[in-house]
Amino acid sequence: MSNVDTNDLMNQIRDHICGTMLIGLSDQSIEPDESLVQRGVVDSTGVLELVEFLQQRFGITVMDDEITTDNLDTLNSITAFVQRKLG
Amino acid sequence: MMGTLTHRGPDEAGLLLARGLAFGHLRLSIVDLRHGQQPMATADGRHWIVFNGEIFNHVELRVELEGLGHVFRTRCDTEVILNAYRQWGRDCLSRFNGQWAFALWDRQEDTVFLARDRFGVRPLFYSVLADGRTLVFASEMKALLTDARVPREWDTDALRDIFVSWVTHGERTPIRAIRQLPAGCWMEVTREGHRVQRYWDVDLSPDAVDWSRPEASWSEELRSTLDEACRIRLRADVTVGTYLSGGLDSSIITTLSKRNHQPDLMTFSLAFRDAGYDESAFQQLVADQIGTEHHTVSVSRELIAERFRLAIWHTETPMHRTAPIPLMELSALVRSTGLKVVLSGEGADEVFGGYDQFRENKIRRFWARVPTSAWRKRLLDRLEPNIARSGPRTRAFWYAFYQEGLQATGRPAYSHYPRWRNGASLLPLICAGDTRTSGPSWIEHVEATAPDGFASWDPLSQAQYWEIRQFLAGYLLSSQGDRVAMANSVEGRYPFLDANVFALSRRIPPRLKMRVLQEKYLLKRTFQSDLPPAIVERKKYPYRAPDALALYRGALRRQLLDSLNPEAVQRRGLFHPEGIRKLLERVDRTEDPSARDNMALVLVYSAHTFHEQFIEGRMETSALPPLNTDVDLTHITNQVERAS
Repeated sequence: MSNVDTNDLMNQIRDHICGTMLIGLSDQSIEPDESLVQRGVVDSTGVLELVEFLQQRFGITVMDDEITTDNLDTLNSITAFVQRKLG
Repeated sequence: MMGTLTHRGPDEAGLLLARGLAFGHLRLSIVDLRHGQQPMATADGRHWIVFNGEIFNHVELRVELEGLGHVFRTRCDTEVILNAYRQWGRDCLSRFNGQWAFALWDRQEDTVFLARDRFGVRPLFYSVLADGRTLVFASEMKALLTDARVPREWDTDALRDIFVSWVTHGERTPIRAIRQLPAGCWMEVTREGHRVQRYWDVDLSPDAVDWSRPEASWSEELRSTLDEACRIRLRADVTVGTYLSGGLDSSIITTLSKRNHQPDLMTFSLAFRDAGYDESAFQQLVADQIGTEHHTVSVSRELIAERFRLAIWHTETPMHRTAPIPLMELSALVRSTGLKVVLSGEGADEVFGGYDQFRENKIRRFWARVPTSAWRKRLLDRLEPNIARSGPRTRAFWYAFYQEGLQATGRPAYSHYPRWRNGASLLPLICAGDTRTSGPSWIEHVEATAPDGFASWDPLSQAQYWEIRQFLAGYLLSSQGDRVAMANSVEGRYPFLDANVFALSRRIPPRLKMRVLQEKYLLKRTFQSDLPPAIVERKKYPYRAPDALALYRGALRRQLLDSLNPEAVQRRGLFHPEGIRKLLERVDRTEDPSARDNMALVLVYSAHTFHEQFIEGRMETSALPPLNTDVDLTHITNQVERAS
C-alpha cells in the first residue's frame, strides 16, 4: 500500500477516535506512537467500539485473538493492523 | 443564614449577639432534651459555644471534670466541651471520642476556637470576607451563600480535584471564597486574623504496630473495643436504630448493639428495583437471625432521577455517581418511623482493610516484581468481575490499564494511581480555569502532602492513609453520610471510627487486616461465630446505585438535556460544548455506556446542577423552629471579670 493510502487510513482512524471516542475537544493531538490506553481513550469498552468502527468502515473482520494491545494501542499499530487485514 | 439549615436542626433555634460576634444554632435534640439549648455559656459567662455533633464519652469526661472541681448544670455533652476547654485548653480535643464541629468564644480573650473531629464526620465551612476582618462559618455552604458578600464563583481547581479523586483537596470547596476546616484540625480566630492547625493525623507508621501478640488476643481486644464503641454510641435520650446493608460491617454493629445493649433494636435497609444492585436477601437474613424490627425502602431508577437535584442541594458538590440519592431515601425512612439517630458501618473498610483497592495494590506490587509474568496479572480477575465477564476479547485492555505505572512502586500514592489516572482521563472535558493542570501533575502535588516517613509504612497502611484522608472524609462521610442523613434530620454514628477502635487498629499488624488477599481477615475471624456464614463468607459487594441510565433514559431526560444544551454549556463556561456533545452522543448510542462515560455524564450534569443552584440560584430558606435561646450582649463590653 502506498504512503498516501497509509496516511489516509491513519487520518480516518484518527478522525474517528478524536471525533467520537476522545473525551473533550476533537482537535487534541494524538501522536502516531502514543498509547491510547495510557491516554485513557481506549479501555475495555472503548476497544469494542473501536473494533466495531474498523469492521464497518474497512469491511474487515477482527478475530478475538487479534484484539490485543500490540494491534490496537496506537494509531501506528491500528493502521498497520488494518493494512495487514486488507491484504 | 439559619433559614437554609433547618433540616439539620428542626427542634429549636438559638441566637447569641455580642459586639463583633454572632452565633446561631439549630438543634436536633438528642441528649437532655429539656436542657442543653445553644448557644450555651459557662456559669460565669466567659465561654460560649455552638456545637454540632456528639462527644460519646461525655459521661466519663464529666466525672473526671467534676473531680477537678467543675460544676455542671445539664446532662449535655455540650457543657462537657465547655468545661473540658476550660480545663485543658486546645488539648481537650485529644480527650474527645466523637464527631464534632464547634465554635467556642472566649469573651475574656475575645477569640473564637473552632474544631472539627478526627475523621471529618461533621462539616464546617468558613469564608473570610473581602474586608479581611470578617469571618463567617456554618455547617453547610448554602448558609454562607445567603450572605451577598460571599462571591459566588467556582473554584475550578476544586472541580479538577473532584474529577480526578471525587473529593476536593485540603481546604478547597467548589466555591472559591469558601474553605472547609479539614478533618483533624482546629482554627483560632482573633482580631488579627485566623490560623488553622492540625491536631491529629492518620498515623499508621510501623512504629505503632505491636508485632509480638498472638492473633487470638487481638480478637478479644477488638471485640471488647468495638462493643464499647457501640455502647457509647447508643447513648441518647431518643431511640437509636442501625443501618443494615447486608454486608459484614453493619451486621457486626447491629449484632453487638442488639445483643449487648438495646434489645428492641430497629434496623433500616435499602432495596433496589434493579436486581443487579439489590442486597435485600442478605439484609433479611441478618435481620431474621438477630431479630430486629426491620424496615426497608425500595429505590427505583425513576426515584433516583427525581431526587437528583435535591441530592445536589444537600451534598453541595458535583459527583461521579448517584449513590448518595438512595441513602437520602433511607434517612427519610428512618425519620418517618420517628427515629433520628442511626449507627452505621462506615469506616470498617478503611480501618480494617476491606477495599478491593487494597487488594489491587497488593496484586499490582506482586505483578511488578515479574512484569512479564502471564499469570500474576490474572489475580486481578478476582477483583474486577468485568475482566472475567468480558472474556478474551477485552481482557488485554484491562491488564493494560492496570499495567500503567506498574513498576513505580516507590511512589507515595501507588495504590491510588489507577483510580486517579482514570479520573484524570476526564479532565479534557473541563475548559474553565487553568487548563494546564494535568492529571500527572495533580497526582504528584497530592503525593507531596504525604506525611514524613511515609516510605517506611507498609503498602496497605499507605493505601489506608489515602483512603481515609481523601475518600472517607471528603466523600463517604459527607455525600453518602452527614449530608444525606441530615437532609432528613437524621444523625449517623460510626462505631468503626471510634477513637479507641482506630487506636487499636494502628497496633494491629497489617498482615492481620488483610491476609494474602483476604480482606478484613481479623474482623471476620473475630465475629465469624456471631453471624450467618453467608454474611461472613460473602465476597465484598460494593454499594452502588444505577447511574447514567437512570438520568438519561427516564422521564426526566429532558431536564438533563436542557441543563447540558450547547447554549447552557457555553454560558456556564465549565466544559467544552463539543466534549459534552460527543459524550451525549456516545451515551445515546448504547444501552450500556462505558464506566467512564457513566461517570462523565453524572459529573457534568451534577456540576451544572450545582451551578444552577449555588452560582445562579437563590438560597431558599425555611421558617426557623422556636427561638428558645436569644441572648443579646451587644450593649455591654465583651470583657468579663477574671475568675479569681
